[in-house]
Parts: sequence; structure tokens; C-alpha cells
Amino acid sequence: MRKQAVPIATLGIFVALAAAAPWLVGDGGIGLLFEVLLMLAMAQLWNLLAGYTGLVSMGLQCFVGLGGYTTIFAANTLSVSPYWVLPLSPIVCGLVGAVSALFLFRLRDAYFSISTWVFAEVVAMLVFIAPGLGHVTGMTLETTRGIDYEAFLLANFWIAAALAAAVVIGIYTLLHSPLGLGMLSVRDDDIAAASIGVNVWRNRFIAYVAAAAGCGLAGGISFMAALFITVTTGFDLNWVVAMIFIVIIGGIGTLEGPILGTAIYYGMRELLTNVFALSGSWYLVALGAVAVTAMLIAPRGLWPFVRDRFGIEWLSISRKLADAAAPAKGPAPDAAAARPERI
Amino acid sequence: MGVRPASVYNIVMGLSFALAGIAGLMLGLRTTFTPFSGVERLLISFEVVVMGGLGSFWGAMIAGIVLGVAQLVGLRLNPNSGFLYANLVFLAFVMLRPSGLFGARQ
Repeated sequence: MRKQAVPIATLGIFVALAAAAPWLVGDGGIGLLFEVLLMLAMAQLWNLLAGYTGLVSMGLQCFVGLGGYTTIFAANTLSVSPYWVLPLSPIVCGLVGAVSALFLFRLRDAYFSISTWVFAEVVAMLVFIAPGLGHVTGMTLETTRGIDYEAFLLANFWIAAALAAAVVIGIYTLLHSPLGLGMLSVRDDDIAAASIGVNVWRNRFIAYVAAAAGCGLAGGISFMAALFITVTTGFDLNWVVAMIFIVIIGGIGTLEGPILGTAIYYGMRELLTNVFALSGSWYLVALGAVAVTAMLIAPRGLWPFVRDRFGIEWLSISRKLADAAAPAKGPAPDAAAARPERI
Repeated sequence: MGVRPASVYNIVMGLSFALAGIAGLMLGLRTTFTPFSGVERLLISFEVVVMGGLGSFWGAMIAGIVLGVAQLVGLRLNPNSGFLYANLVFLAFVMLRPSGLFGARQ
């Protein structure tokens, strides 16, 4: 499997850098990288929906907040370390995602996008008015008192790194499988995909539940590390806005795009607020300027622009004729043969 | 047929910005506002259009009234609920009619 050499080498370098990170960067650097890796995982998940299955969700912040509340509430209620209850966040969010998908999948395009946002607002408001969840004051994680905070942050960083790696590997593997090929066909044209025997609803359902669970886990990790959650921070629209920005700037429907987008998103923040010591508002102005410029120069995102300009491959998910010539199993091998160009 | 799409897009964009500006002026006359006031109203305005059916003038008008009344009734029932009841009315409605009140059948 020579063609897997680059992705495996990338993974090896990532693991080595993550393991050595405490010695390479200081405590502040670890905090920043923690945030970056979680956002990378979430952006990849938004890309899984919008870039690979055509589901443009505006409501993934629902699962970030719900995941955060689940971990903190469960840890406080059971009086255990948050690590024991962290798996509850993806389970709860996956279930909520699955149930909401039953209803939301009746809707298409803009109707779906707006309804996912409305659903997120409804969940946020229900959490806000629910008794025992802190109302306006939010919830504080109580079971980490007396803990070694530095070690706690470092452990959280490694969990975030593992999540980011797992999400990227998972999506890479998925898109090289027959199921992934079905997903891409759903994105390109759901009616045509259905007509050649792809189960459109099932493909979208799997992607949606995976994204919900993944964002729930990311939210759980994020707010466990913050030790504190409120409805305004947990269910903040800016979670999904950041995911969309990163994916659109970097290149929708590619694995490398969100990586590049995340680097730009946080790189600019650090550059403007730390190096140039400007306020956060200038950062938003700069983000807007970058978004407009990038869209004018590279309407498909920066990674496809760079890739085609310099002819480089990194974590490509495209299928070439050689793939189709190999014995293919799965629902739609013909689609690969008919589509030698990048998908 | 001689229609220039680019200039139509330009005129429509300009018109919608101007109308949104007038709406902002009206809002400013009756309440306090900040640079972030827009986002708070964005969702409800999307809901109105989607519930009425994309591209339907009368649909948006009726949906606006329905959601406004739902919100007022909701606030009377529970003053802390914000847009919760209007949002629930919206979700229930689009479940029954997935393309809105007067939207094209999908």
C-alpha cells in the first residue's frame, strides 16, 4: 500500500509532535493547541456533513453545548472525575442527533439549515429553563477541586489531540470505503444517487449522528477543561460560524482544507492579538477581510487552489482510474470508474 | 433574452441592504442597540422567510405575524422563555409543511 505512505507518515509526525508538545511549547502554547485541535475536529465534522453529504447544518453548536453540560452535570451529580463520564457526552449527543435527524431530514437545503439552527436554539432554551442546570449562572465542574491543574490541562490536551487524529483518520478511512463513495454521490446529486441504488437517507443519517457525537465529545472536553459552562458560551452560534469559516476558507470537501483553515483562523488571531497587540474586534475585521479576499482568489477554498497550482497531494480523498481497475466491492463501483477527476 | 444576471444581482443586493437599513432605523427608534444587535434578529427573520416559503411575499407576511404572536403568547406564559415558543411553532410547522406555507413543492 504505497499510496498510504504519506498519510501514515503524517500521522507519525503528528503523534510525535503531540507527545513532545509539552517540551516544545510552554503552558500557554499547550492551551492554544488544545483549542486548535478541538476546533480542527469540529471543522472536520462540519465538513463531513456539508462537504461530503451535502447537509449544511447551522446547528452543530447544539451538540457542543449539550456535550459540555452532559459531562459537567454527570460529573457533579455522580461526584466522579469528569474523565469517567466524558463518554456520556458523545452518547447523549449521538442520541439527540439521531432523534432530531428523524424530523429534520424531512427538510432540504435552506429549510434544513435554518431548522437545525432553530433546533439548537430550542435545546439551548430548554437547558436554560431546566431546573438543576444553573440557569443564568451556568454550571461549575466541582469534582476537580485540589487537582494538579497543570497535569489536568496536559491530559486534556492529549485527549484533544487523540480526538482530532481520530476524526481525521475516521473520515479518511470512511471516504476510501464504499460507504464514503455513496456519501460523495449523495452530495453531488442526491436524486441521481438514489436512482443508482445508494441509500441517501442512511448515508446522511450516519454522517449526522457521527458529527453530533463528535461535536458532543469536543464540547465535553472543551468545557471540562474550562471547568465552567453557561448557556451563552456552550450554545454560542460562533462555534458553528468558526467551523464554517475554517472549512470554506480552507476548501470544502477536502481533508486538508480544514487543517489549513484552522491554521489560518488561529494563526491570524495570535498574530493580531499577541504580535500586533490589537483588540479582538480587529481580529474579526481581519477575518472578514481574509474571507472576502480568499473567496475572490480561490472560490473553492485555499487548499484546492494551492493543490492545483503546485500539483501536490497530501491526504487526498480523490479516486483515480487505478482504484476503479482494482477489484472493487461495494454498492457503486461504476461511479468511481465514471468519475476519474477529483471528487 | 437580454437580462443581465450580474446587474440584477447587484440591484437586488442593494435593495435588500437598503431595506434592512430602514428596518435597522425603525429598530433603533424603539430600543437600544449595539453592533451585535443584527445577529439576534437574524434567526427570527430567517424563520419568517422559511416558514412562509422561500420566495413568497404573502407567506413571509403571514409567517411574520404568526411567529410574532407565538412569541408574545410564549412570553406571557413564561417570561424567561425568549423565542422558545416561536421556535417550537416554527419547527412544528415546517415538519407538517417541509417547504413552508407557499413554497414550491419539493
